[in-house]
Amino acid sequence: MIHVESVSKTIGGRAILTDVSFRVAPGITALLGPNGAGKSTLLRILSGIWHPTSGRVTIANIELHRDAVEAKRRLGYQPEFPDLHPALTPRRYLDFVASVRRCDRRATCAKFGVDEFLDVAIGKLSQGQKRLVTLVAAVMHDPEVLLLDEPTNSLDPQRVEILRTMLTEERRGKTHLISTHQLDFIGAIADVTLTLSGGRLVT
Amino acid sequence: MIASAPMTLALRWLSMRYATGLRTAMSAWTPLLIAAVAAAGLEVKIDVRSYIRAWDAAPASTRMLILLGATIVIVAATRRILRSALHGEGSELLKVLPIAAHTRFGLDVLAVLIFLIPLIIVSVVIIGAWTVPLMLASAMIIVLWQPATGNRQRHSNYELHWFANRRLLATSIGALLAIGAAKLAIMNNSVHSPSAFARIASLFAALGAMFIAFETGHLDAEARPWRRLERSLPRTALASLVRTTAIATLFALPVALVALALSPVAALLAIVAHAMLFLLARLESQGAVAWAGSFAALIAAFQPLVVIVAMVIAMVILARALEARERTCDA
Repeated sequence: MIHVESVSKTIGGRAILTDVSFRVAPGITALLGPNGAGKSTLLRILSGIWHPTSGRVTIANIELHRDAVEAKRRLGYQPEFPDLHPALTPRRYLDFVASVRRCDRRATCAKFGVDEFLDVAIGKLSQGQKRLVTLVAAVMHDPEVLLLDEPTNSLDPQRVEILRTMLTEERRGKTHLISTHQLDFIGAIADVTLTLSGGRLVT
Repeated sequence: MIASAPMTLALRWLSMRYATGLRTAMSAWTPLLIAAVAAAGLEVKIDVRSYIRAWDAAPASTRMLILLGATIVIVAATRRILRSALHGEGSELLKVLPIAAHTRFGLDVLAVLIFLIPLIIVSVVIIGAWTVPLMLASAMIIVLWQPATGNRQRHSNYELHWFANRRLLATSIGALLAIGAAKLAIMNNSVHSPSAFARIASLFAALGAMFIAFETGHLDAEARPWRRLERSLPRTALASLVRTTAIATLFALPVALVALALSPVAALLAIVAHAMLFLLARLESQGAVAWAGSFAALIAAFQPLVVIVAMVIAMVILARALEARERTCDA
């Protein structure tokens, strides 16, 4: 469902990713590696935020940078750092995302307990609450392919359990690529492991 | 792009753009709006024809230099505003949504055109006013000094950096420009009576204070000393009022001192106007600041003392609103 072919990314003359190729089948794939290995850069490229310097990405059989709109309809992405405007409320932001994606956000908000702070300015939320908002935005349309960057960071154990249940039971058969350092979390649910080091795929 | 509802999507996208930065960037036009109202109220005009004659008489090289300089300033300032507004916090996740890049670009261009409408209207309506070039220059200078995304960055000597690099310069320039504009208004209107002089001086002192409070209100609210002060005070409306008045008085002092050279009422008005607008800025009611400020400035030109009383009452109401909002956020 995800096909990465010879992807490289150079920023400011520095190679962040070098000739990375792999396939991700339906199920849960862990993306591991030390800090600075290029995991977040790779997920940004797969989500369509950044273009690769060279190489090709296919999401659900659609070439991402050729037909980005169709590919992004099938994609959900949660960033490592919640990039949300502090003046917005979660309700305003999630309603906007839901309207663009043509789906209903309410069930997902209720599942992750976002209803409790829907009308509080994002600038006033804790890091964990901000991450829940981005998680809801990433999964509300039940995408075929889900990219999660450090999804358990700042989450309480209860929310981590809800996330685990969603990934292993409710979304069974869909494609997940999860970058994390929480080996106890990912070790229990991952089918396949990919490891990046120095911008290269080592396993 | 979602073919079934392109108009709805366009409206939602524009709404999101204004919610995530462009609305704040509209503050760049606040001095212009205030200047427009003030210029209209004071009937401040220049002889446009003499300027055109002088322009025609100037050597081609001089005209080219002036045009080049003006273009660089305007482009640099606008670029910074728009970069901050369109590529600031929250913009990256919008790229993940299934909207074509050319559609996003087109909608952003539309948003920018809407953003520029106040500038266009003001330029047309008040062309020939003395205050406009001064206020425009002040807006551009302040915008150029504000890093596009650095307002909320924290570093070890944040307070020192914030005070020395931003607040002090903004205050000094805002005050000087306000006084300069007042002097020009007085000269252009051949004002001689002390009461008329005091009214105009009060008006421009208030304008200067409003401009500064508006431009730096968010920085004020974010700075660590005020957060520490907030924590040390009880969470009541009265405490909010005391805290805000203390902060506003402290930072309106440079303006007030300059305004004092014109009249004591002007100095008092500067402090009170600053405090009120500081509160408005904290409530993030930029539009309200622009229009309430312009309206108050016009009234101030006729009866400053009445406005001071009204502003104090408004401060109490705003403090209560701020306290209510903070309680909601805490809950």
